[in-house]
Amino acid sequence: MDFILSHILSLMTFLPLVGMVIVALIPSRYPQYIRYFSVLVSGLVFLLSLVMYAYFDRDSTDLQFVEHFVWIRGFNIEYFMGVDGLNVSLVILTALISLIACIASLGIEKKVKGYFAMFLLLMTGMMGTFVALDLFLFYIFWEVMLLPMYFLIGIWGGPRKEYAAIKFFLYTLFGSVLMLVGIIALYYNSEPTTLVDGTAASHTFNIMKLTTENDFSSKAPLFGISFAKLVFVLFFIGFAIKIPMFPFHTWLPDAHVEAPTPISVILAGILLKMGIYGILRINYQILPEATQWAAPVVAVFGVINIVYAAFVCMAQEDLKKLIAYSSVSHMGFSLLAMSSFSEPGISGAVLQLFTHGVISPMLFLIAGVIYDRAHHRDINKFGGLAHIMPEYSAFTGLAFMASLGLPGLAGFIAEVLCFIGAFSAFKLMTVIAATSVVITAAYYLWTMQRVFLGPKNPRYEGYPDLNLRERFTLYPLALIIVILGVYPMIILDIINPTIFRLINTLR
Amino acid sequence: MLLSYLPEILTFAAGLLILFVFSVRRSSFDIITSVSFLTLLVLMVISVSGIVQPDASSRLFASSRFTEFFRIIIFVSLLFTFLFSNRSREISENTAPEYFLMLYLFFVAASFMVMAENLLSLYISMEILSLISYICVSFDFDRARSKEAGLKYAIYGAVASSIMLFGISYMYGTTGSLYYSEIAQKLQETGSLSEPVFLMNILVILMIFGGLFFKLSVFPFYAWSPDVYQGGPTPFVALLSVASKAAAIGALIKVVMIMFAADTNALTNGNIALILGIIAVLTMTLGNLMAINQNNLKRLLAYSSIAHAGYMIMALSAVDDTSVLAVKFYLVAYLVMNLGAFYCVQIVSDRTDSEDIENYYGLSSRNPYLAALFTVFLLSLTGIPPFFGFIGKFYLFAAIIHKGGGWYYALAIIGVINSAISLYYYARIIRAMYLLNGNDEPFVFDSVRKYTIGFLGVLAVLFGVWFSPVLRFVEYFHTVLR
Repeated sequence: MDFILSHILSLMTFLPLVGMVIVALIPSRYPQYIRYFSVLVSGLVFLLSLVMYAYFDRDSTDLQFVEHFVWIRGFNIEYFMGVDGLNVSLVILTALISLIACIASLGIEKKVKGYFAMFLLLMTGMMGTFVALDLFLFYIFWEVMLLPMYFLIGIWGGPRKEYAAIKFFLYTLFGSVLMLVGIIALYYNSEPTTLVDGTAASHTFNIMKLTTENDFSSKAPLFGISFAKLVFVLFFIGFAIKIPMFPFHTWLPDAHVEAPTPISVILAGILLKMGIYGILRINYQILPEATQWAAPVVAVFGVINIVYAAFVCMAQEDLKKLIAYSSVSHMGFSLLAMSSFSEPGISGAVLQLFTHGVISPMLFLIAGVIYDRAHHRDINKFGGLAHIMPEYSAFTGLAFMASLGLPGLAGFIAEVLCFIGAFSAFKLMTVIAATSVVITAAYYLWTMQRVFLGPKNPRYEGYPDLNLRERFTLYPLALIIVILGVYPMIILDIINPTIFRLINTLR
Repeated sequence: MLLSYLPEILTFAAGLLILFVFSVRRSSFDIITSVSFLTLLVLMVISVSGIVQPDASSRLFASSRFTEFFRIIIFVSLLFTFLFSNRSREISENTAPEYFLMLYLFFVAASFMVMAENLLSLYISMEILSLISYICVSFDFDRARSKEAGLKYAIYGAVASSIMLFGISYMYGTTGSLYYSEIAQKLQETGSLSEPVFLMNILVILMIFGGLFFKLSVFPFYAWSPDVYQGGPTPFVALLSVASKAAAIGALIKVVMIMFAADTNALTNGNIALILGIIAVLTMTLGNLMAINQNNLKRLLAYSSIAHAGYMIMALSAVDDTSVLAVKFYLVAYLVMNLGAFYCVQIVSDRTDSEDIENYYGLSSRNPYLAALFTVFLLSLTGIPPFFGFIGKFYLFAAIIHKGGGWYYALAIIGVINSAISLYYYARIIRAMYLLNGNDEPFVFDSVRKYTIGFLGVLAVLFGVWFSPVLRFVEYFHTVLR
């Protein structure tokens, strides 16, 4: 147990990688073994994340479960992993959503071996991105995600899969190479320090040391712009593409529409969270002055995200595209709230990552259920499904209500915190953003009406209701949504101490 | 003193011996290859064994740790070339002894090119290297495109080297010397120059670079490479893209660092960095943009290798020790991934007699092993972690950002955007292999090739996550240039 506790983050990160190697060794004529083995691996990772949750010290603001040693001495690169309030909820979310997506993947029939190998590699990349605290290590995990995602969309996706896959790959790579310049720039402008084993180092990639021991606001300006602001922009573009923030959001609808359901689940549930996490972890902590400088602009972009994407949702006829744009809109809440530097704001932003990370996977699973049966997702062609699939309709109702922010469900708490926080700093913008709540309600209710209500459509007569696999994925998410809606402290308890400390450094 | 040129002398002798033995007694391709391979392996061991001591007593050529590094790079790429020349569709068994002699001579010329300490000895060794290259490119006697490529290469080469020779003679006229170090001294002494003379001198420097830029396929002398790469025998083209560029960049590093690096140099202070930087931007951008629409994979790789030369020049434009180290590190990565990529193309084209991208449709189901390895090489060329190419690029960008200042940051940003663009055309090949469907007949190839590219693939992944040994290797050979 001691071993597990002291290496829990590495185990969670690399267990899927080991699983991938084993999957590659299982002959492809046994697809069933490959499927269940992959579920087993992601189940184990989820169990480990629960252990981590249980042992996480809720009062501490320090890093926990730290693993820290020198990896490549030549460039002062360290293997440094740890969790604090900022990423602990996201690690749990990653494990949870990966498991759900893995169960949802059991229906995949084409090239099963390749699929699960890529899926497990993706898990390693995602987990590593959230726990890595060395910029170099962070960057490697960040990039490792791209390739499996490209294949998962490109091979197992819908009709325009190739276009969507390369668009995703190019957009994200474009952002991350700019981030690479930022990383190297921070490295060479960092003060001399010591590595974890006590040897002296002239520069460092260690995010914690970059935060505490360096002040980048005083560095010599480049092109007449202050160094910190320039680096802030380099990082911010990389993260903004991932969020995705207007105007970099156009890859998302394509990727979501073409991706197979479990991959949409991963995209919406986990990948989109990395942008906000990265900004909070790197931009906020390492470059606080530049963050203050950029905050009003970020808030404006947040509001554009919220309102613009909500209006775009109104016009959608493809259910999956609607959900994709609603994700864009919901990530805007985090952007707006975190720019306020208030306690409820940042708390709400991080909680929003978690709640949206549970709600949007559920929405995509719901879209997947109907697509599996009808082979299309055109909202206008449905009607009266509530008579045919009552259980499914109930879950859809629950997920829609959660997403539009109905009190008592998870989405509400996060949105309220976001608005409270944002209002303290940006009054007008918050009011504008708040109008989107009405639009959101409108597009969800209208969709509800078009798909589920009205007379029975004979075309869809005889569709089976949820099957066992779908229940396995939808029930747990629904349960979490309800519990979080009633008692959000499960997550707020573990994130708040760190966030309060973070805000103090910003002020 | 002769002892320090032992590898070159022995290689030369071994080449002649092999030609003689196998001309008298014709043997099968396998035997010639094995003998040549083992001989070269022995020579390589000798050259790193410590018998060969660095020597700087000669004023025409000087061997040092620096040149030893390039010796090894050229040796290693030759060893791979031998393995892949064997039973290649493009090289006939009858001409094998002559072909191997040419490859041995290639090493000698390339090695002397890096060792040159004098513009004229540089020019001569470069010309010998060019001549060998022209011959080898046209070695695919059955195909007209090979002869065409050889001729084109020769014409372009003649233009580039005559421009270089003119530059050299002008430099001799102004400074009265051909030795790198003496020229450096003279340039420093001239102090403040009037404007027209200054501009003329910049032009002369560009002319001298011309020949080396031609070998490196760098703007403005890059136009030959797609045609030559497409027409020439693939194993030799792979060598051309690695060893020939290595020799040229080695020579360029020496020219830049010895002749023009001094800070007190009124003529070149800052200007060399600017010139190299602008050329790097043009080279990598042109290479990447032109690669986008290529359907012939050898042409595509030709443009990609132009872009990679651009990245190296970009790092070199920092003109300091870190940048030289970075370029050398990158060369190791480039050797592994570029040879790997070329050999994957060769394996397919040896069977289909074509390098068009259609031949790669559905390769992942016809031969998953080959498709996976090709993907590794392509992603490594793109510079995506956790592959070796990423670490190489990381070093290149670190080298210029390390230098600081707005110009270098702009250069780095242009460089990374270029490497994002390059993903598009590399991913097109991955798409062809994995996302599109072709015919389903299984694709097999012989085991030597299988293990060789497997070995390169393992290196491309292993050194991507654990590059300390490479770093130590590069640092070991990283001393002063002379």
